[in-house]
Amino acid sequence: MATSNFLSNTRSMNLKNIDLNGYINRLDTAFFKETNTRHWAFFRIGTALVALSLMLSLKADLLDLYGKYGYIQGDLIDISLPDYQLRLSYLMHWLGIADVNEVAFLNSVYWTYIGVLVCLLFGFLTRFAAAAGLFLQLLFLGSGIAYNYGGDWFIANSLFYCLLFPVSNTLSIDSLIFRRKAPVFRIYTLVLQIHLCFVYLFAGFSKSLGTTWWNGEAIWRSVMALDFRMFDVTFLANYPALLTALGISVLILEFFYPLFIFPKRTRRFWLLATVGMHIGIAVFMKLWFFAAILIVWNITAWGFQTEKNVVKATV
Amino acid sequence: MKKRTKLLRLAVLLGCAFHLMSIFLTNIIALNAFEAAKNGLPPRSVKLLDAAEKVSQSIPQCIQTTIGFYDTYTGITGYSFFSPDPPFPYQIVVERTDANGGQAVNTMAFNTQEGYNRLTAASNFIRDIKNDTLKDLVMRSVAARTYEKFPETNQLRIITAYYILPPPKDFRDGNKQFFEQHALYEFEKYRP
Repeated sequence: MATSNFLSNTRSMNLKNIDLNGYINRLDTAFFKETNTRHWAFFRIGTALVALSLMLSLKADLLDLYGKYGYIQGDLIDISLPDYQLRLSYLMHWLGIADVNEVAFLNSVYWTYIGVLVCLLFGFLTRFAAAAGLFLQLLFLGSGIAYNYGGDWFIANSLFYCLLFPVSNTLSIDSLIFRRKAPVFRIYTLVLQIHLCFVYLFAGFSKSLGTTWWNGEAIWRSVMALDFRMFDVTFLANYPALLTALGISVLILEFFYPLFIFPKRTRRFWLLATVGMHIGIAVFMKLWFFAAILIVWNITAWGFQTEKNVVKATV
Repeated sequence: MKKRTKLLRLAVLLGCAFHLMSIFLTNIIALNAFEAAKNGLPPRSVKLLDAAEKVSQSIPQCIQTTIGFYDTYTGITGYSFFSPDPPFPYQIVVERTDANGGQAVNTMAFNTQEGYNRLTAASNFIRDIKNDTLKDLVMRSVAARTYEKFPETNQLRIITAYYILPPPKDFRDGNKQFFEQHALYEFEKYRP
């Protein structure tokens, strides 16, 4: 009896000592503090511009990349995908238009996607545009699985964030039409920031496992690869120290990104260095859209002062 | 704060936690793809990969399936670009010969620079096909599209090859890059 009284007293004492409401309030302030919205407007416009440019630049290759009789035929692509992955053939099936002219179908989907991205760009019916954009991007991702690279996945991810987060509170037609605006919480920015930390941490970690990033050979191979080569950079073979320095810089920049991007003192340098790395990727490896979308992410996450009532950009 | 607001905020918090956990776990699981590259890696890297493999094996299958499903619809992917070492590029060389013996050597002929930028992805996709029958069908598909785009073609040879680039030091010493043939597919125009 005495023991059970003692235990129940201890338990109630411990519970009393824990200021649960205090914790909840602190969590609430940390995650649900309202922030500025300009960085999300930048994210929406940046995403739409990158996705639009990418799709417009692919127009002449639609049939070769996504057609039923493209270089890698649709049926062969289909058997490489899990059943639940969206693809253009599913849309044809759902619409009951399996016999329709394929060029007309592809063009219709393509121009619908362009229209949806224009709506997103101007912030008109933004959530609907983001949802439709994500759906259409996933159709192209599935049907073009053999041709996708990182940029395509980041665009899909960006459209997902445009769907979830309030990206149309400023610089949008929606903000002129609709009075009620969804509150913009700090947690949204935090999700993007942590996502970026994972991107670079894993990119840096997986690179550090090899040997060629440590001796510069990886940089050499990347800029000399036939498909990526933009300029004749054979002269780099004469500067092994430069190659090694570049390789190790990439490792440091990516692996320590989560450590140095959060503190305000190192943030500006790390952000500029990361953006610089992506500009390098765009210029030397022709991966323009991959570089552009990651620059949009980085500037959205770290380049704006998000505290309310402070509208000055830090970069 | 209203109870409804509290619940909504809790739902947002849980959703964000799930989203970030998916990104993290996807990338841990993605490290398993380096299994084939383990032989060429230093011992410390192999140890780290073994540890990551253990972690990913400890993730229950139902969670892995849920995450895989979630990733497909949100665009989450592994971020191990150009890792652990950028491989030697796999190239697809298409040699077309017309009836007069005229030859043209190219790769899959796209119309835009962005189309060409996707060649690496396409080549890697073909390289990674383990099933020989499927690979054969894919090469026939490439051939069929080439015949369609270039109807004057009579004979067609598709060569897959690794583009071997010597390290900077060897390159400086005069060793140049070269193609190491992997497979050859020959086609002749069908004449009924």
